[in-house]
Amino acid sequence: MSDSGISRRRLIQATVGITVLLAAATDGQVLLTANANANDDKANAERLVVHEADTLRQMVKRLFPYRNLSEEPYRLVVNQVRNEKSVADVATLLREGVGVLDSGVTGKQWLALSKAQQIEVMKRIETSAFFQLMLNTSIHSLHANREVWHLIGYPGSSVEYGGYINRGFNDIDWLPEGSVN
Amino acid sequence: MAHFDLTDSSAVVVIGSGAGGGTLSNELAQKGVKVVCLEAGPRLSLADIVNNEGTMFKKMSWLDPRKGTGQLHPQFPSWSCKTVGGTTMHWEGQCPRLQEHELMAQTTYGEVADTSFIDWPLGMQELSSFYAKAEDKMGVAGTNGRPFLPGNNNYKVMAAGARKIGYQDVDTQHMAINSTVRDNRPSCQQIGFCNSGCAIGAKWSTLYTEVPKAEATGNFELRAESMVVRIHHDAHGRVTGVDYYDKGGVLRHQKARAVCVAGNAIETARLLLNSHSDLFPGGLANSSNQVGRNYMTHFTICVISLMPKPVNFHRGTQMAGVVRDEMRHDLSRGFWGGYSINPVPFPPEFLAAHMQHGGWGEELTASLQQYDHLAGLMMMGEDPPQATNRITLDPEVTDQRGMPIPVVHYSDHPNTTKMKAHALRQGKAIHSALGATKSYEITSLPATHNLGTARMSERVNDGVCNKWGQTHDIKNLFVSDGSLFSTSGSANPTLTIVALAIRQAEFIKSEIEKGNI
Repeated sequence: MSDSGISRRRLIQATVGITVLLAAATDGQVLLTANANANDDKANAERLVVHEADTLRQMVKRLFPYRNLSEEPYRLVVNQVRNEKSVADVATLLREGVGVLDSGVTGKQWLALSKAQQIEVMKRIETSAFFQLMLNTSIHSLHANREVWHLIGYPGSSVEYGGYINRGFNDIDWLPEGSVN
Repeated sequence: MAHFDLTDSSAVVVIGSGAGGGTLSNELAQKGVKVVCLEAGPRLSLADIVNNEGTMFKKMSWLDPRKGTGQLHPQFPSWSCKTVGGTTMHWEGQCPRLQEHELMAQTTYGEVADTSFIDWPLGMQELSSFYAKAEDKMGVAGTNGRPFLPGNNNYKVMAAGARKIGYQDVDTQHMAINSTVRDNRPSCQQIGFCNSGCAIGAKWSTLYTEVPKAEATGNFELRAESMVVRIHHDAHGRVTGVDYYDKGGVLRHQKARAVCVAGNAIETARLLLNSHSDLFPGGLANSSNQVGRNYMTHFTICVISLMPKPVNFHRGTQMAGVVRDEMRHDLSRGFWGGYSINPVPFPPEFLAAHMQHGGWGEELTASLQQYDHLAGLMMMGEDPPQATNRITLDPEVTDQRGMPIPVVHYSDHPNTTKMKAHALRQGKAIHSALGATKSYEITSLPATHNLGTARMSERVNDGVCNKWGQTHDIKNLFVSDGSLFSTSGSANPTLTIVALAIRQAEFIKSEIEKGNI
């Protein structure tokens, strides 16, 4: 899967080049045919990119399945991981990682698996560099995200509101009577 | 602020501006002793302090390369600071005194295999008046008639659970955080984020107490971003000055009347070892071969629990509280020495990474989703000196200045393993007593208490310094930080470091007057 991804992209570039040559040298019929092939391949490439993003986003959701959280924080994790500079060739790592997920159950893409099957496949690759990158990026990106903070009840900085001296630092009211002092 | 010429040898050079170096500098300057303080880190102001752990971690932490071996993180063996104020920027303000029996560890604990226990060369009688001075200087809440800080929700959970399982010695702890307006600094506003630097200066830090007070005397010059790499000596073995890289990266030599090293236990040992010479081939002050050895930390392990109703543990002073019942020495528990139990909160990012190390999925996420229901405890206990736990110089790897990086080796003693298991059990019992539905253990925090690498000893073969922090080998070379600790005790070390620095300043002043240094 991952290897064919590379060769497909190379094929697209090659096809585009040939199209130009053919356009200069032959009649319109050939040109049209070649262009149609290029468009098909371009669409295929886009489908691959979308598939990869969808798979990665779903993976982040399986890592940290927050209830009632919008798509946006999960989408940001995928953006962030794709721009990760600490990995030499992050694009290949992610593409191959998605390939490994998709080959977890024969004949079925990972996204098409049941929740239990998806988690099962993830557990099998927990120690891989791909999984660890996804986990670490999810830990840091999701949990520094204001929307997540708001959802779980963490407000972040307090100094600009005068701290909690008048905002409930000691407002707990369910402890056993007389147990604190 | 004074300015001293590089060739001026009248000043005492203090290396480091934290609890030890910052305090010693000010105490000396107040007594009319001239001081040049060389601090590796930059000088922040209160305006640089924001309520964001990640941002402040990058601004304040010691991030120069280090190597950890044994059970330590290989790249980040210890969490210390590189900033004016040192770890007094990062600390939480807890100020327990060491206990009398902990100062006599060898006598108290007897022969324990694979340890190098000694008694401190000074007892509580010699130390207690300096504790009182330190508490007064730092405005410690609950001492000298000052009110205790109020307890926050996380403290109240700890106190209620602790009492329910039979603990009795529980309060909001002696804290070097203003409980009332004092020393031109405000009282605590329960902001939280104490360990990311106090944005209003209610917590005692040398950055805005000792350092400006020293500057006001006209006897003191602070040079920030100045990293000392070598201490020099003359043919008689007396130290004469230091080499340091200044703010611009230029190598300078500052002459000195005496040198006081307070770089935090890892850097202090590293500097002494790196200052080896023909006269001192094993490093300065190392005739005992004890420099860098007996490296101690306090284990810091945490219990994070999901409580039945909201706690909001992020609100308020982070660690104002203590249960002292387990700090006693009582062999019936199966280990010697003791530990304290303290309240602690953490932000979501930290919890996601450490609450269940390597964890992910529905159960962990469900707990994180109830962030407002979480309560936290940190247990820390006595760490025995072991000669094999030590700082050495890496034989191959150097830092950006060409100075060998420190290798920090540490492994738990079997006693510590037993004590940790006990502490985790008790921590969980405190929360369970109030109906906690789930508890997580955090057992892999990097140490922040670094102790013992140039320890004080009665006998010259047992340690590096005498009871004044003066090295056994070199009269005008002193150690002035947690490296001095003969043993670790179970208490947070800052108050003791400050007390020892006040005491050392009196000694240095009198030695100067006697013409000895």
